[in-house]
Amino acid sequence: MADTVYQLSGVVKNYRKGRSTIMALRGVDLVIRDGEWLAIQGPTGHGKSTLLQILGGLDRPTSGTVEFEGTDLATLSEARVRARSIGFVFQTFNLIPTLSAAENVEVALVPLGLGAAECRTRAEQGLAAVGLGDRLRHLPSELSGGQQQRVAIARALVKEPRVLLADEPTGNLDEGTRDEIIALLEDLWRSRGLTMVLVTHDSAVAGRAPRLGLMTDGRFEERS
Amino acid sequence: MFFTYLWRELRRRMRQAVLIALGLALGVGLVITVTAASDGVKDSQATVLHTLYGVGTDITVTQPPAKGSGGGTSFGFRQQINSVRSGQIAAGTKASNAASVTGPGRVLGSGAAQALAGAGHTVSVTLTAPVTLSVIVLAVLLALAGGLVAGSFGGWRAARLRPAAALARVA
Repeated sequence: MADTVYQLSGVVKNYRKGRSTIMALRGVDLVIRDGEWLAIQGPTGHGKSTLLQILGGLDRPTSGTVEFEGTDLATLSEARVRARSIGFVFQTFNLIPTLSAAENVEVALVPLGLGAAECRTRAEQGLAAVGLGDRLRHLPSELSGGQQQRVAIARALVKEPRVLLADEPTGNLDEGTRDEIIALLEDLWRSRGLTMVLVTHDSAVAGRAPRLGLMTDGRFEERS
Repeated sequence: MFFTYLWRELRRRMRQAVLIALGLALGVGLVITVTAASDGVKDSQATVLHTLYGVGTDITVTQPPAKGSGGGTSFGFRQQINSVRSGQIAAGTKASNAASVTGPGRVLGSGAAQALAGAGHTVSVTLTAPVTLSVIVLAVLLALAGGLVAGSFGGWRAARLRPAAALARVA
């Protein structure tokens, strides 16, 4: 059996909005193993993104535990885990508009303290791996949506993380570009042995994953 | 990478950058103006009060003798007054070579007399801005310190945001 990367036990997440409390997650139990691709589907506002943020250490649960590689994430330096082991891809790309494609990818290597030359080399290799080897000097505004998402994927993978978390990575793309991006992610998942968790409301995207989960009203259900 | 990002952001936000630069220039100008005004006031005080600088122990006040009393209180100054009236300089007095008698029983030093005589005149003092290297350095340092404090506060607040909340803001 493959190693367990994530083990979530009774994870609850509440947000306070004024006087009311929003229960985003209502006791999620989940195990994700090494090399798995889990797609999480569900309607908007039912906790998909919140779950992903908790998996990535971007947010902390109100109660319950999240173990990453056998250690409670709350006891680890979340910033260090994020910098080394987890790559993120967002729906809105979140590229820095004033930096070129190569510089945007290099940004992910800053916390690792690598030399400038190595950062540049790895960024160029990362962009070449997503088919943008000829767009190194282009600003995000000079790239199409699909190309921007490729840059974001290169940025997520340039540090060679163990886990890739993708939050609606095709949400802002047209159908043709969506298929290209999903094909690219699938290829990278296979070739690099990544553990991938992908959140989407698109059934066509979710259907590509070997494992499928459904978030409904803050609860996780396994789908076969 | 940090400085590349900083420079590109400043170029991208040219209008804001120019506005802040103008604010810094205004700060520099204010420091120079305040320094100039301070120096000017000091100079004008020196000019106006110059004639009083000689006033010291040469101001002597005596009480005129009351009728029938056989003489007023002497205060021990009679000798000095007499000396002054006769054009002699009292031993131990300073700054004054001559004395002016302004009335019976009142003796003032020459400096005080000049000051009183000049009190009715207007003294014009020109305010000049002392743009020296030290003033400019001080002004730039003050402006930079203000900018750093303001920037650090914003950065500190941003750094305390939860990553999820920060991402929600840029989305």
